Amino acid sequence: MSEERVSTRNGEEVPVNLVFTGVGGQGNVIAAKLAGSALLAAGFEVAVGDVFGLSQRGGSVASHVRFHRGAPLPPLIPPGRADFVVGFEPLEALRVLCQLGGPHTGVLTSTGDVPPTGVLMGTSTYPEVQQLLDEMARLATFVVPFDGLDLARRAGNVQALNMVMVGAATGLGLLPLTVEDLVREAEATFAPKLRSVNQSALELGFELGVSERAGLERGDKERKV
Amino acid sequence: MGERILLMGNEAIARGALEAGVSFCAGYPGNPSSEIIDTLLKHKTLWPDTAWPTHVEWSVNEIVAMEAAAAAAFTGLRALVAMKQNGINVCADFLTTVNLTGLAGGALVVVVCDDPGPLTSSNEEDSRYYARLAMLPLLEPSTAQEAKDATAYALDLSESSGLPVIVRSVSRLSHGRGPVSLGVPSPPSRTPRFDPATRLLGLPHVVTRNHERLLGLQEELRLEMEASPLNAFVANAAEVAGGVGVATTADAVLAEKSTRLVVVAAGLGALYADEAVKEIGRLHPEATTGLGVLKLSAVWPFPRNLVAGHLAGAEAVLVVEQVEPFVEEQVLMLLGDAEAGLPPLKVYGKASGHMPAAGEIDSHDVLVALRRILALSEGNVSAKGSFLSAESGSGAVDTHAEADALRRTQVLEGLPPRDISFCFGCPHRASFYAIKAAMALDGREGVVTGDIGCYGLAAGPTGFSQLATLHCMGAGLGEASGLGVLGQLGFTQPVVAVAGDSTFFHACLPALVNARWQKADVVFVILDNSTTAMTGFQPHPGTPCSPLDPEKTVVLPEEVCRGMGVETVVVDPVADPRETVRLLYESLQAGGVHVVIMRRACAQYEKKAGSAGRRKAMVVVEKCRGEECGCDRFCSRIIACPGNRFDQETGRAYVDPDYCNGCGLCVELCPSGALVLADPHTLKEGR
Amino acid sequence: MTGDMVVTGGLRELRQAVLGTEVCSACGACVGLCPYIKCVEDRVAAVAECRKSEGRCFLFCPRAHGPELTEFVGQPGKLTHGLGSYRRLLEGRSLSPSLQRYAQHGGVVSALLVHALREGLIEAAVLTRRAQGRPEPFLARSEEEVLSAAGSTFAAAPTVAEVNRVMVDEGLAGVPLGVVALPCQAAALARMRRAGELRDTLTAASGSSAEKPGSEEAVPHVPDWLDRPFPSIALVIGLFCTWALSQAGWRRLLREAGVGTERGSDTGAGSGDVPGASTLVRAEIPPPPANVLEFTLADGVVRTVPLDEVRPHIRPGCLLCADMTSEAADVSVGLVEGREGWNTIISRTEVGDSLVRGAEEAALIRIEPLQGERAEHLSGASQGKKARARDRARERGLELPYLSEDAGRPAAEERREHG
Repeated sequence: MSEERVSTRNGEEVPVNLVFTGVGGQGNVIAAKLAGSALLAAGFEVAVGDVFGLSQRGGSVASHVRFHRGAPLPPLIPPGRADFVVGFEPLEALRVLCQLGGPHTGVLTSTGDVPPTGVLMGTSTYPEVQQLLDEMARLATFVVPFDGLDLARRAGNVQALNMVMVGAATGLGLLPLTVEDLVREAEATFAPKLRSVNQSALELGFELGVSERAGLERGDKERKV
Repeated sequence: MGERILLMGNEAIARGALEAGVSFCAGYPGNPSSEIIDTLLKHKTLWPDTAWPTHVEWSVNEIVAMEAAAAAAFTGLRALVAMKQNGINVCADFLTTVNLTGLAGGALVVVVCDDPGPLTSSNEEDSRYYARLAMLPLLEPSTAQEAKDATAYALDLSESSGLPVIVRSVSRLSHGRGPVSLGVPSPPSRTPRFDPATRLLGLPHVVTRNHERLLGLQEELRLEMEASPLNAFVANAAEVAGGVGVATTADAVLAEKSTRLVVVAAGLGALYADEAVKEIGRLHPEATTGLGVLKLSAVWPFPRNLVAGHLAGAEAVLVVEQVEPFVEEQVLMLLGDAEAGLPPLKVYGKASGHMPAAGEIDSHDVLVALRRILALSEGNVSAKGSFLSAESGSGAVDTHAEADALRRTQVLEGLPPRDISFCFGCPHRASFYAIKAAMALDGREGVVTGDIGCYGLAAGPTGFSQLATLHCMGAGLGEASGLGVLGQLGFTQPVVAVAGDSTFFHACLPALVNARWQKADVVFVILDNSTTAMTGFQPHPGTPCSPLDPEKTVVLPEEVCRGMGVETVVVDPVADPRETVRLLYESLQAGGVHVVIMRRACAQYEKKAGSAGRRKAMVVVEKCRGEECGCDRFCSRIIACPGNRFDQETGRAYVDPDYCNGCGLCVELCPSGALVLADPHTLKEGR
Repeated sequence: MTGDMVVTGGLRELRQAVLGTEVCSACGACVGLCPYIKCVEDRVAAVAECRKSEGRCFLFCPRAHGPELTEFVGQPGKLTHGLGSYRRLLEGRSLSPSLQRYAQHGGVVSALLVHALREGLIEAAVLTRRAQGRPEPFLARSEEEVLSAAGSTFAAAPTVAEVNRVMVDEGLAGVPLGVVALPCQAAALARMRRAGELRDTLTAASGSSAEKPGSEEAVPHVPDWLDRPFPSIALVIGLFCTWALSQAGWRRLLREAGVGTERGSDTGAGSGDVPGASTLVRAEIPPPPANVLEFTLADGVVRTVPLDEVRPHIRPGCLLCADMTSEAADVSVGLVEGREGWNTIISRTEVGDSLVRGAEEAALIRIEPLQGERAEHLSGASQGKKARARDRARERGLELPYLSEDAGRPAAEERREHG
């Protein structure tokens, strides 16, 4: 799918822009780094844009991953230019879709909600997750929701959600990589005792992505959870 | 060697310094610069080809770091000091004295990482002006590759000129990742020695001489910048190759007489300019025949001949840079310089209102500016409108895109915000709850003066909005020392200054002495979570020794305070919230300087160190009073730790075990004794 | 009980009316019911926002309401203006040597408590004792502990908070308690003692207001905030009080007079500390025209502070208080001007009066009727305080329901009976 995007914009090399987004602490930085490194190893020119520090304290976070074959890219995706939004959390997926996406944008998101502190304190309300997905469907070209936390748990740790999402994004065709590319990067990225959980997460996510891809290509726009 | 890997800008800077044979590195944690020293601390394992003796330290603050690194340069070594924008402010005194004495033979690269926006800083600042102030060379790389090359080059230039050289980065470059080709490192070749004949003295009569010498050097340095491959010009909107550009001379420019509009873009701005120009090229090919981009990464002394040369055939120039019009001002000065012989160009940039004057920029901002200047169809240009409107190609406003953008804006406004908050189990939550309670009980409208760190979040709801002021490191106590002597002028409000343990050593010591010396009435709360947390858990002098590092000296804050003759108590705000309130209240009532050290390890640090316990908080449903009188959801509404939740259907609280580290604060404070600590593995479902 | 609808409110209303304003007397009735209101020394404050529109904090506050509930002490009895209603006006002193040794004046309070414990009227008592130069609430469960708290202070402590605390922390719900209270605290305790009756009133009221014509009879609904265990307060001994100092002010006076306030600087039967030469043995205000506060130290030295220097430290809430003799207590005890070593005793309720009688029969105290001149003098002093409070409220532009002219008067029929 991203291969199509890379080649079909007026025949010129236009970067593919993908955003990993979620809540601070969910691991979007490592996800973007792993995806970026795998893309570089596969021969693309890559730029990854991040902010660390303050945003980790439970705030909204996003990592921009941009790639093409061509000149160095600036790290920030201009508004409206995101091709894919990969959400670790549905509220953030919708937020980023509004900020950076357009009608051509596709969304892959985990459905587990992380209430912001305002919601926990009772000063604001969290919409129903289905409402968020419905709004995403209105604004995007496709939405693929699934329970990423469930796969992460099956892999061995909820913290591995980020790897599930990278795997799913790859299986779905948003990243022009193979699962082996990812696993190889995971070996280089993670300490030995963390490798097997993260690799399982990548694989489980990848499998899910592949099964969802078939549906997308058939033309089903959205999955209900 | 030779392999291309994805590196963070800061990692590339570290690598560049190593490839140029650096052996002394110092800094103080500061976002977005922290990863430079973090990487250098582990360079031997990360890059075995750089395994030579080095000294890498987290210093107690930036000026000490710079002084220490410069001293290493005095012995002939190559040194690096890294900091964020506020760090160079702290260093200003040294920077403006060592520039005059020079480095006596070694080399020093000063890496300063600015934070346009800001994203994580208490001010927005353009540190490039320090290069002008101190008359030092300034490099402003645009990609991770260039950051590496520029840092290595800076050390060479520093050695040949005898001056510190500034490499300036910005957050998106420091934290962005891009491909970098690794080079072969040149290990340091010198043994450090301070030549006994060396004199580096800022004595008045010596200073005048040195100042003249420095002024004289500027010309030489300018020629270096003029010829630098870090500057590159690309005509007709073709690609700007980062790092390895086509250096053009003034002669070549004459051949490009068709260039009507030159975009002069500094540092990372060059990539944004490039993306915007390419976009214009795609949508309005005819508009870009007269468009050229002059990328500047060797910025000071200002390469005025290079710039003038490229502007000679132009009608207009757009300057793209962050944060302030540093280059723009130089371009304007060129216009007024008869020698440069420039035609009356229009200069577009921040002064003209085409580029944002504050906040960070991106490709979109440059695109909007170019459209305006070239009088191209604007399409949908709401504040952050979509690029897509341009795809319609026609000059008409695209109503479908406009409706889409409007809907996005409306949806965005309706989404609940995600405020940043203290992590679950964070001791600052307990500390600020105690401060709030003590101030309410004291009843004299007390003032809390704040400082920089994770606890800075106490300006917001997560910390009960306690902070009244937040400026720079140490400012909390400095301000308190001023407020604390106003009693004789009729001031009746008590003052609490807060600072973290790392901040204490960085900047608070002089203020504490001053408060005691001036007999101020101040309660100084040191929030000691045993680490420098916000920037990534770096150590500081008060960090406890770990079993891995038992030889390390620890300087205990309470010993320092007591050594100054200040009454000091230590309390755990999470385990003893009531005692903490009582101690604070008594200190507020007592007058004089009192230090209350609230000591409890950072929850994240505990997690990393593996010392987090297995027990978690759990609600005993029968005892929970929920929204009834006597509780009204005290845990989820007031304590508001991310783990404390409320089930509207059952009307009872519950704890999400994934967001609990068993600190026990909510257990201590629950009015009904409904919260207990228990091992989650032996429990049923919490809900 | 008047049966009128009692005005209810929550923390927000309490803060508007009393808490955090100069009206608050820091009685402590609102503390310990929830985590939103805390106290330390004599300071009571809300530390966070509660959203409830009705709560016990507002219900118990003696300054947020008119005097209706305090009229429960309006049992048939004589009434002299300014002293509240009562049964007997007496002078008395304790007969036990140990009581006399530690008591400030006549030792009657301690004697009554001892008798109440012995008779099983109470199983524990909440008192105030002096510790490190300041008053702190204290739970006594034995005679020794009662005696250890003897001695008066001039500073205030939120004693009722301790009543709330021991209900929960010491598991004393349902255990009959005695409390030695200042007038404001006695008024709060009267409201708390009536909480059970309030519960019924409000239940009936909410039931009737929910009734609709033709509907079934409304099911009585007890609001959650009333459906709680309340302290079982069997006895309130009220003290006379003209004003109380803030603890910060008290500390300052002690410091300025050179009185030691370190640990061990207070004597009391149970303190077990060795007093130093500068420790405080007793503080008192001698009768006019002395116009000073006198500190007697362990080495016999007497230090004085002019009352003009003491008055700035009076709690603002005391300036708005109209009750000198604890009109809401079962029995009130104070000095006798001009008769050292004796107490004035005002018995008000059946409980109070029979306690006094019993203590006399048990030879713990000796009592005589209060001499006429002294009764007049006492009444005058008490009325003076009422007048000053009303003047002050006027000066400050405050409309305070508890200061209304009807405060302290019995119900209409009783007034008629006694002219």
